[in-house]
Amino acid sequence: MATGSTLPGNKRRCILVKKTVVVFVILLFLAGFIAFVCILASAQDVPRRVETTVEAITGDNDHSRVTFFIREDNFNVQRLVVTKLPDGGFQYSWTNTDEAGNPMVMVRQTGGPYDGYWRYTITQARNYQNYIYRFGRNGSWMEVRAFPPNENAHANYQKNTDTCKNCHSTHYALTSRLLNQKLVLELCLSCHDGSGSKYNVLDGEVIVPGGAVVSSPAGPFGSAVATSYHNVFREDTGTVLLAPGGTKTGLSCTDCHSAHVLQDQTKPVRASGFRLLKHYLYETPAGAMYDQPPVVAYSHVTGSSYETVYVSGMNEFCSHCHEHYNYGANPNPRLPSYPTHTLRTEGGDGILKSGQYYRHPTGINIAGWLKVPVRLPLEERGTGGRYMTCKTCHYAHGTAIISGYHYSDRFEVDKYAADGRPLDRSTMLKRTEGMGICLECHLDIWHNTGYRQ
Amino acid sequence: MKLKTFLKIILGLVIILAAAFFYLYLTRSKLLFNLPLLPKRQAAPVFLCSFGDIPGPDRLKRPMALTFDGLGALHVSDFETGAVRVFSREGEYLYSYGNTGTEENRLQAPYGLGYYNGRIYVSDNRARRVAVYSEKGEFLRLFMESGKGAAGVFIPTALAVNPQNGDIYIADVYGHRVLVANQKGDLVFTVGGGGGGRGELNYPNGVALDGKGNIYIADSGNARVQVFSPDGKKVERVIGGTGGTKAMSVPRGLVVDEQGFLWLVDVLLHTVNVYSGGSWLFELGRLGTDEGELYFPNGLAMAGDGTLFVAERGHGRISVFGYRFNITRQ
Repeated sequence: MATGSTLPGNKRRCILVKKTVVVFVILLFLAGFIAFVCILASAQDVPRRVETTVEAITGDNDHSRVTFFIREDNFNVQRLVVTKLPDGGFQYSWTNTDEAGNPMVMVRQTGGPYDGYWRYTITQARNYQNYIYRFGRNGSWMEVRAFPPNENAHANYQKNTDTCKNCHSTHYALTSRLLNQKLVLELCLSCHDGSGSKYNVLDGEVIVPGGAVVSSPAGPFGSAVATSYHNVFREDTGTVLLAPGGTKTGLSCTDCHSAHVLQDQTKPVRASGFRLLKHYLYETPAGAMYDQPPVVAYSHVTGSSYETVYVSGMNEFCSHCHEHYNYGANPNPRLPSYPTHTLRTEGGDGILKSGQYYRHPTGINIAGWLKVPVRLPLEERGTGGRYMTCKTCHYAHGTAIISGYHYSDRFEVDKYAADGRPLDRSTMLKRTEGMGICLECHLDIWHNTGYRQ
Repeated sequence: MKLKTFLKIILGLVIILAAAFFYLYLTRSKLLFNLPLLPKRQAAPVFLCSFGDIPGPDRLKRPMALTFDGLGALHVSDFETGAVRVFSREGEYLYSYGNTGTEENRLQAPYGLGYYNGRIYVSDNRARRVAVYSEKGEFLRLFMESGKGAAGVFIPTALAVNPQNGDIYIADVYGHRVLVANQKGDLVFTVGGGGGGRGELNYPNGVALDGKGNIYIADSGNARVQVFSPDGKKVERVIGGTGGTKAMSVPRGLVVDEQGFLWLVDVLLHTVNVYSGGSWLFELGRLGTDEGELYFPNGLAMAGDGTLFVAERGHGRISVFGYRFNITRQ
C-alpha cells in the first residue's frame, strides 16, 4: 500500500523533472539564439585594433617579416599599390593580391603570445619601405601602416606608464588634452633628430631602402638649413605667433600631429592614417559642429625618392588655422560666405576677396594648366582631375630655398627665428626659388595652358 | 631537564640562523638583499652642480654624449653646433674642436665619444662616419665611413671603447646593430640586427662594456638593455622591456661601474636609473630644468671616483651628481 501510494508521487516528480529539463533546454536555446543575434549585431566591419609585429630575417639585413594580428575575426586584406605615371603624376589602387600575385587571406595563429588571433604575414618586407594595408569588409576599412625594420613607435602606448606623466598631468594640465605643453618639441626631437627615427625633421631628410637619404616631402625645420618654417621653436617662450590668414595663435608639433594613433570607431578611414595628422571638430558660425574630413594621403617610397600621393582633406586641414587661404573649391563651412571658385571666362566670378584681400584660390582642378612633367604634389581625388592644395606650392614643415624673400608688412608672417631673433622677411615655405612656382602653370611657352597666362 | 633540552634547541636554532644570516650578508645574497624591509644599502649620489648653459658663443646647445680623456678633461659632443666642447672636471670651459676645417674633417652632428690611448673617437650621425682626433682637438684621420668597407651602410649614434684592446663599438641606427672595429678600422664582428625579439635591436642609442668585456646595449626602441657576451653571440641578460623589474621608456647613455652597477639614462623618464644585475636600485633626477632636475638627458660619463656627469640634450647643460665627501676632500 505504501509503495502504491508513492508511485504516483514519483511519476509526478518524473514529469516535473522532464518539464524542467524541457524548459531549461528551451531557455538555453533562446539564450543561445539571443547571444548569436547579439554577436551578429555587434560584429564590426572593421577590426577594433590591428597589432603589428616586425621580425628580423636571419642572414638578410635588407628584409624583415611583418605580421598583422587581429583578435576578433577574419577580415579581408588589401594592400595599396602606387604607380608613378609617365607625366609625373600618381595613380593609386587597392588590390587583393600580394606582390607575387597570390590572393591575400588571413589565417589563424596557433601558439605564441597571439594564439588564436587572425594574422596576415608579409614574408619579405623591404626595410625602410612603407607598407600600407587595410582590413575590413562590406566596404569599410581600417588602414594600417607598417615601417620595417621597426615596429611603429606611435602605434601603441609605452609599456612604462611613468612616461605618460611627463606629457600629461591629471589635475594640473594646461590644455584640454591634459598636456604639459612645454615638453612637446623636445619630446618629438628626442627621436626625430636623426638618432631614433628614419624621419629627421630638422634636416628634412628620410632614409629610403638601400640606406640613401632623400629629402622628405615636408621639408626641413632646422635653423641651419631652413630659411622659413612653421615656427614650433617658440612654443614655450610666450611669443604670440599669429597664423597668416587666420586668428589662431601659438604653434607646436602637436597642433598638427597626434603622438598616438587615434582609435576612432566611427570613421571608415582612420583619421590619423597619414602622418598621424589630427582630425579636428569645430563649431561653425551657425552653431553646428563641423567635422573636418580626415587627410587621406599615401607615401610612395622607392630606393631614391620619398613622395606623397594626396587624395583629399589637405586644404581643410591647413585651413583649420589659415582660414582665409582655403578659398575656392571645397569651402570651409566655418566661412560659409566663400563661393566655389570659377573663372570669369567661364562665366564665373573670378578671383574674389577672402577676408581683407584677394587671394589665389585653392582646391581647384588645374589639370589643364600644369606643365608636363608634373613636379608638384597634387590631390588625385579619383575624379580624373588634379587638384591644387596648399602643399602644391608650400612645404608643411619648412623650406631651404635661398631666394624669394618677401619683405612686405602686409604678409602676416611669423616674425621670429628659432633662436628668438626677430625677422623682417620670409621665404614663405615655398617649394621653388623666387616665384618660380607660378611658372609651373602660368607660362604659355609650353602651349599647354591655352590662352591662360 | 625538559626545559634544558628546549633551551638547547632554541640556542642551536639561533646559532644556525645567525650563521645563515652572516653567510647571506657576506655573500650579498639576493635572498637577503631583495627583502623590502631592509634599508637602502647603496649611498646614492646627490646633485652637486651644473655647467655648460651659460649664454655665449660656446654655450652647449644639444649635448648628446661625453667622455673623459687621459688628462681628466671632459669632452662633450654638441649635436646642433657640430662641435665637441671640452671642459675641465670643475666645469670650466677649455676649448672646442670639430666645427671648423675642411669638409672632410668637419663634424656635422657629433654624437658618440670614446677615448683610447691619447685619441678621441667621434661618431658623426649626419655625416655617417667616425673620426679620430687628438686630445687637443687636432683632426687625425677618418676611422670608418658608411658605405665603405665591410660594415656597409651605417648611421652611427653612441660609441664605446674597449680599454683592453682599443676595439671601437659603434651603435648603428640604420642596420640596428652594434659594429665592432679594431684599431685599424676593420670590422671585427657585429651584434644584433633590426627587430623586437631577443638579441634584436631597435634604434640602439647607447653602448658600454663591463670589466669582463660584456657588451651592454641600450636597445632604445625596444625600451630595454641587452647584455651580450664579449663575442656578441649570446644574450646574457635582458634588463627592462617585458622581463625587468622597472620598466624603461627610452634608455640611451649607459655606463657600467667597477662594482658592476649599471647607470642608465632614460630620455623620456628624465632620470638616471641604477641597476644591480637585473634589479633596479634607485633613480636620480626628475623632469625639469631646475638644479638636480634633468631635461631630456641623453648621455653620461663617470669619473674614476664615481662622480656622474649627465648631458641634458633638451637643456644644453651638464649636471653633476656625486658624493659630498669628494667635495670636502677637494
